[in-house]
Amino acid sequence: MTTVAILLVTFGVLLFALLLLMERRAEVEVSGSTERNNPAGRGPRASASPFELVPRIFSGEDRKFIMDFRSKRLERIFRAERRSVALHWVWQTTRESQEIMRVHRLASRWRHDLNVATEAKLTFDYWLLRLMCALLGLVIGTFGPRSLDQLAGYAVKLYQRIDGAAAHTRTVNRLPATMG
Amino acid sequence: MRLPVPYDTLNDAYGDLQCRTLSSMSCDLARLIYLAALRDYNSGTYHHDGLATRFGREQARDALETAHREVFYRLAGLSLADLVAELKTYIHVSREAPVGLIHAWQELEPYRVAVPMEVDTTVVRLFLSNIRIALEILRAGQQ
Repeated sequence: MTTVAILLVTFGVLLFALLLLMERRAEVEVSGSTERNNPAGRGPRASASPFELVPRIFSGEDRKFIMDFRSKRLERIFRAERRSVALHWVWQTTRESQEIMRVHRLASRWRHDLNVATEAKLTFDYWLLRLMCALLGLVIGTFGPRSLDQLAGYAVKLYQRIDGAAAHTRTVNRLPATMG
Repeated sequence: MRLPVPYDTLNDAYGDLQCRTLSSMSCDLARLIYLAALRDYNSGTYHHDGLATRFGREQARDALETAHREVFYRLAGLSLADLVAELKTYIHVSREAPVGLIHAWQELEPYRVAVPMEVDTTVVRLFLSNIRIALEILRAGQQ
């Protein structure tokens, strides 16, 4: 029992350390590439995923359609294609949430009326989303995206909540999304 | 500097494009290919002489861009079953031999050029991936 607890804590600490490391690296990358990612001068929202299409990536309907052909080759192609798209979506969500938080941090510097509870909730949501993305990436990479539609849907909700809260700070300060 | 097009004029140009041209096409895939063909490869801007004469060059360009993006998102959101049906309709109206068209599409991937600019990268990947799968299904059906 004690050994299991130690293993779990160790795993948690390692995962958190990995996330922190990824965060630092991504911050350097993002701050150097904001201009390239927004050639039209638009904010991160301009490239945000149209959320209604996310369930399609994890759709059981398409999988069932493919299974009906009873072709191993088709199933293999379908699995590989869906895995690739799902992993890209996870990567994109991670990257965009990092950009949202970077802009939010910049915007927050100009505010003197920050609500501690709201900021704590935003930070918690952000790290929860990062954790979910890391888990989704791991599971999709290993088993494929099947049966992950609910988890992906929850990640979308978290992303929208973070984006909404951060957008509020930007609006209050009248700062452009790409400032920095 | 590119000034925003007045909303009403853009709406008129868009409505005209829908009524006179796009509605006469039998499927969204044909509309996508048609709209992509109106885009200059070098500049990425759209040209349509008839529309430009009636509404102005900028209005025509923006209407074409909007329509292209809309058709694309509609196709990207289709289920695989619906996309296969869409592809079958496109092959039928193209009057090409199905085997030849499927082979050419698998080899040359011309549908890549039909993707509008500045659309979400995950959606682009989903669309391209679905087309590849749909082509594979049709090829298997031919065999």
